Amino acid sequence: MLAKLAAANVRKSARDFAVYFFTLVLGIAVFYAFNSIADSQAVARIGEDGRKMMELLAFVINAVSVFIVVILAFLVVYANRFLIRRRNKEFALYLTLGMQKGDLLKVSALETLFIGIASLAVGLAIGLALSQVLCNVAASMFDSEVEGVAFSVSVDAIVLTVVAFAAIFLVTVVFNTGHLFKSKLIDLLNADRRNESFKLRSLPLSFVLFIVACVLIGVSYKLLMDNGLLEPSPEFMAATVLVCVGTVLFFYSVSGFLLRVTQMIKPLYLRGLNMFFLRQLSARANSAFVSMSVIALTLFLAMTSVCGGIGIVNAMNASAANGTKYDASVVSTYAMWNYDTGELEPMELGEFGAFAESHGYNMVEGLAASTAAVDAPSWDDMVKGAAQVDFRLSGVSLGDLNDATGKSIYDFVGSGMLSDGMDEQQLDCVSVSQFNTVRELANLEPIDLGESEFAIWNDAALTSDYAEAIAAAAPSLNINGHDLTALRDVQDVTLETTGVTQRICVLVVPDECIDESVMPWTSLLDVQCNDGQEEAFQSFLHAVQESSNPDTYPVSLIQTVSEVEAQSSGFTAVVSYLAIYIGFVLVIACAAILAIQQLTDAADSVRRYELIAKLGAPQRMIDGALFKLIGIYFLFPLLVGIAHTLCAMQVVIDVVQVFGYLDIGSMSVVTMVAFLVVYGAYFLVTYVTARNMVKFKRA
Amino acid sequence: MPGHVLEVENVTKRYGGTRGGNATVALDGVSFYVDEGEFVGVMGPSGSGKSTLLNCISTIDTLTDGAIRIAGRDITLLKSKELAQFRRDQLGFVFQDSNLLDTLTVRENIALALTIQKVPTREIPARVDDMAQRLGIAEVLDKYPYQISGGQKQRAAAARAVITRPSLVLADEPTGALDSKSSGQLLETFELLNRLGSTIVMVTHDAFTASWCHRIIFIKDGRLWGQLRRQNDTRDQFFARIVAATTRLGGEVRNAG
Repeated sequence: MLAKLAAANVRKSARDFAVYFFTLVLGIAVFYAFNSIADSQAVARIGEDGRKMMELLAFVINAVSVFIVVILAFLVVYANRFLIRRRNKEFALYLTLGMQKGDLLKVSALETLFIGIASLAVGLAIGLALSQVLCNVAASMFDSEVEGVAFSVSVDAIVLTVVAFAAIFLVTVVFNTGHLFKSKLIDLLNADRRNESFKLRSLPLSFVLFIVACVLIGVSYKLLMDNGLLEPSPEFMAATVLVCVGTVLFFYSVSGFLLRVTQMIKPLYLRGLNMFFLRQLSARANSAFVSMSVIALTLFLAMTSVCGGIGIVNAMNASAANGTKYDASVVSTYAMWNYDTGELEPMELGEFGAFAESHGYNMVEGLAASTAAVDAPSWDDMVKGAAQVDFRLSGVSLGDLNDATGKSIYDFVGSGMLSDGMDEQQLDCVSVSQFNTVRELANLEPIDLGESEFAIWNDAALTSDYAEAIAAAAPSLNINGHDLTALRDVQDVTLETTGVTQRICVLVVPDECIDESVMPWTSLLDVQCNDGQEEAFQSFLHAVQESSNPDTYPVSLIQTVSEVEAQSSGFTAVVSYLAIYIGFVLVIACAAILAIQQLTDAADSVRRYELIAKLGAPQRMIDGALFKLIGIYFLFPLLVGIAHTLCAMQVVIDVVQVFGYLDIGSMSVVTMVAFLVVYGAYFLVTYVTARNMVKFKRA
Repeated sequence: MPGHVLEVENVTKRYGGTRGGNATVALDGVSFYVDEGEFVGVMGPSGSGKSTLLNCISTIDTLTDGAIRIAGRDITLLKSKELAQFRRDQLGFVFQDSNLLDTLTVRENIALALTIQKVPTREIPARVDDMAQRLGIAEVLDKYPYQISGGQKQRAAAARAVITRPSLVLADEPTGALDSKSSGQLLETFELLNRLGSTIVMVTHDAFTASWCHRIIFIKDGRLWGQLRRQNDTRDQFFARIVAATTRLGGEVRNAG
């Protein structure tokens, strides 16, 4: 019997439930699709080299996941509360007809159950479809052969979605129960007659709180900029907390602040309906400030993730394009820098080390001699040309460079991106003849270096500004007993095949400044293969790296063109998918919640607008007030979100530079414009609908 | 000789049933005049059409036939854009429930009528203070409607209605929700406003309230039933005549029923 009533109720108030249902379906679709990504192996399939990026990505995904659940819970509880309030009178009728409160609670819970099941079914179906569509769109946008994004139905994600939403529904039922249990019959009966009681706050207090909110937000901006994003530090947590508190306070006080300020400007306050709409705004602030804060933070998250994600992708693509001059690059490392002792420590390479030594650390010779051990074709069959660069310590540290130029690397590189004690780190030096041979291998002009000159070679985006500044100062340094002066131009070309540019201020010096008796701590070998031999060479390199045969050369890192490109495009698809997908759905959710809220407010305020029309306010004046009111509700969270984003982007740029040069690029501009179009469309629809609701109709 | 502020000419209002004869006739050829400076009551039993009449005069409802002229302009000929402007400049309203905006202070509620009229800003505070002083609500100006009594609310509504200096003030059962003491105070206020020059048309079903008027127009079944002038009667005498008239009116209704 109760179930029948509940089902009938859902059918009867389908129009009211539609908003709630829509919100739920949207939320479920988001949650499923999002979690199917986070759980999928797509991220894990990124190459081993991207370990650091993966960790960063996993960190972001986890943080975002928690955030999403909270937002969805808020969304559902909010939409549900909206629905319950509309039906107070209906509940009152049941009670007057003699229904027990317990039965009423059961009816309400059953309604939630019906809607929950229906929305889960529809939401999951849409979520599945949506994730496929968006994936294909994202994939085709960047690369048709997307490695690592394989789409399937994720059972884990379905289970997670059902569990999460069951929990959210339970919270909803608890809220409903609380509401119905507390409310007295008389209040329910008079629900539509009684205006929503609004607690008035003192305007001076709002004024002060607004200032406090702005200060809090400012402090959190400063904390974030000073400390950066890479290492989760107490300062980062403090910045996060402060910005949340600041944002909530901001929306708590902004309407009161606006009202107070406008009241002081009489000609503005006493014009047309300004007084009315500002009062309306401030009266609504009590119920609206929480949602506006959450919306501002959500928009912030959406915009930052899209800009940051696309920035990372673009930077990686740029690096990849820059870093594919050679068919392959091989790195052999013989020693590691020990930060504690400030010295190089030889690595335990055992028999491989002896093999390298026996070949005089000549990689071409050593690798050519390794072919037999792994049953590979002969070196000359595979390789057209190869050139080696040996990296030795220059004896010059970053601190010395600082002393010579007065410029510290900490002033140029985003905070949190460098570990402390970098000043003691020694720079590498390479001989100009080796440097020019690898250039020639890539068909680049050799550089001219005088006897008393050295060049700075830096292709890492992170330190490019620093390198430019150092070179411009043209410091003189003593390198291995020779006094050398820096060329004013930085060598910023990438001379290896890699997805991530990483050479930081390597000193290119005349050959006589290199002490050949000191063995290099690491060597780089760039290789151009004979046509059609790229694959054979790649498998040869990996065989050498994995081989336990002592007659093979020690290899630390292998990067080939095909690997770099695959890694880059796979990463591109994953990141852009995540960023655009989360961003768009968050924006739509925000806009939807604002729309629900504004339409409720308009419905509640019909009598006020009617009165104003009776007092003789022309329709245009009323429309204007409504436009400003709804406009402020839509605009302020957007503005705050954009302000947060601009601040966060300063820090995100630092992160992105790890991957290469930042190019926010046309892609994110297009996405942002699309966001704004969606958001603006919601605003217009809300405004037009609300206008029709409050339009004064002559009988 | 003051002119007619309000001319109601042969006003007919039918609801529904435009095709056949099953239309409900709310007003059936009602005609009367109100002169400048008058304080006129409109009385009639429930369903007599008095509220419909007031809605038609206040331009909120449309006529089926006839004409209503206020300050010389036929409101049935006004376009809907002009109507808002007309209401703003020529009419003042006092409703049964004071209909003050709950989000605004009393001061702001009164000022709103002026800001809608686009009165120069510097004039507004003085005019509001002055009007509040006269109506005895100066001390509650900065309170919100929920913080003041029903009588004070109605006086604030009256202040809002007259502050724009309208040609005609329309009051719809203004004492309907008030106790007798507050009713008396509000009616004194109306009398004061009337002495200060406001022309007031008040719909009421209460003989005591009506006894404050100069003239009572009775409406029954959508037609004019008759009218009473106070002339030189005291209020008590006029009250007695009104009661007598309403008794007769009610009796006829019962006999007819």
